[in-house]
Amino acid sequence: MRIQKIHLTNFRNFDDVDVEFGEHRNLILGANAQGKTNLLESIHILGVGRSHRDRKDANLVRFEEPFYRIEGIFEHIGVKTRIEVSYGEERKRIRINGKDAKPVDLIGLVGIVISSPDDIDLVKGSPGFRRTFLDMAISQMSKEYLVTLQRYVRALTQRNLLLRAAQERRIDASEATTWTQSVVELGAMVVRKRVAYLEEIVSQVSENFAFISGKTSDIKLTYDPRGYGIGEGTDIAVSLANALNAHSDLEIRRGHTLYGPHVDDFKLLSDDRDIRQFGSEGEQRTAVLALRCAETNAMGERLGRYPLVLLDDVFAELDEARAGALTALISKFDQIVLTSSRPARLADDDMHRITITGGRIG
Amino acid sequence: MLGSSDRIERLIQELTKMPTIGRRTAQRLALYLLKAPLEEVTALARAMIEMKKRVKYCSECGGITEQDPCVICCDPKRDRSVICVVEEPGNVIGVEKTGEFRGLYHVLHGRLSPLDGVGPEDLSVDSLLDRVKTLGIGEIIIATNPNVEGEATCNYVAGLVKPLGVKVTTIARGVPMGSDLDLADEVTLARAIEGRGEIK
Ligand SMILES: [Zn+2]
Repeated sequence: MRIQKIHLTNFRNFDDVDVEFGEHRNLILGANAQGKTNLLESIHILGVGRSHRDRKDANLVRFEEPFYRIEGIFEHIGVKTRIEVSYGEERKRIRINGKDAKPVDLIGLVGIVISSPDDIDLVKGSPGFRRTFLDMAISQMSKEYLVTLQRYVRALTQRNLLLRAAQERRIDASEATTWTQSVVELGAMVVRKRVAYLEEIVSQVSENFAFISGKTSDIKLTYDPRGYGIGEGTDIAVSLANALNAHSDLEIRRGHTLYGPHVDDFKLLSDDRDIRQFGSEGEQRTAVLALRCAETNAMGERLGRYPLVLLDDVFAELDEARAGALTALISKFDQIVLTSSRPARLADDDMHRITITGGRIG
Repeated sequence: MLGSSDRIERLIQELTKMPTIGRRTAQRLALYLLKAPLEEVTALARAMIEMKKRVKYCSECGGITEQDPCVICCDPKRDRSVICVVEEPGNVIGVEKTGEFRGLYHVLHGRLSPLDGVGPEDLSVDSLLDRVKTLGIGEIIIATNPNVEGEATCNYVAGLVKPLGVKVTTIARGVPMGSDLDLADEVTLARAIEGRGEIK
């Protein structure tokens, strides 16, 4: 769906603003710290129910105000959808066309891909960044994945509580294993979906990588399970259960579940070299953008239309050639909202411009 | 505080002990009772006391009953070789409504959930094992709720019963994900009972 309008109340540095968007390419202009990223963040929240950079909604409320509220009007094939997300008095509320909804109800509605300079952590950062990438991308395409993931986290929480109780000798060690079966069954479902997703996007990532960098290389995305095997013909649930059972003493000493999709990772290889370790800064940035564009394509195929693409200052770090290639690559997407502090480089007449100064528009 | 009546405050505090009743709802209920005719309030109080005196849990299956053992446990036409295990007495009504199940029941009175402080010792599993042995049960259908806690409970019960040489089946996976057994419609539930899968 395309976003047509957004209304922000007490969100970050905005007190009360309305913003209108163009159908295709939108360029948000403004000096640093004026609110460009905050505006993108608000669109992201409407699309997936939460911020891409801050888990605590209380942090998103404007200083000394009691609540924030975001309301957006989206459109697809002539049908308008109103989405509202608000937070106040420690309660978050999502409404779709005036009816109360849950985050899972947003799945398949808008579809959002966001990229920012922090995305470099997708390559350089800790495994948690890569797990979040997979979870956000797959969840937006599959309600089933999101529900399975939520159930996995729930089972994991229950099991960890028992492991901690066993660590403190409040319960018998054998009781903790009651939850092992649930954890490994749900965990295996999560892992299988993640592996399938990486297989689905790898050729796109490879093409995009070649297009942006201007040279062909053999790109591989390999799922990296920690402490258990997932090779061809492996029953993942059994393999994970074996790993947990073999380290049950250690699990009780540590007081939490040691293996499973909550600690796994994936690797990005270029000509069999790990880009994380051996890639140049340019290669790493290219890999991230190739991933994000592949995410957009995969989601587009699943939803039957391109998701809304939010690009936060992604051109700033690219050289002329790569910036040009990226511009060409994203031109096939439907609606894009870009931010930039340097208008000259990107601006062309077809772009809808939005200028932000100190939390005000225009 | 509502006005200056300690009696209203006492009622509000009693009502707040009930599930899903917060302080605001309790206040509304108290004010409603204050306004209502005395006969209506007396009838309510009497209904509560009579229910509490007369209705109990069946000493065999744990279901709700006024006679002990309950009508289902006493019914000679029921298949006494199959037990359907459920979490709460309310689930018995749900499965009965499908008309597909003609065996006996066993109510666990809970589900495993460390988050809520519920462990194996809080469930009626010992009495289930006793019944399996004394009644010569051939099949156990585990119909716990199809959520994370229900499935963990199902795994736990299956692990205890299987060593007794009983066939264990589950309906949990036939019911839509994330739903409660109570909320599953009768058709879905009936189909789930017919198409139940054995736990190996
Ligand atoms: Zn009974």
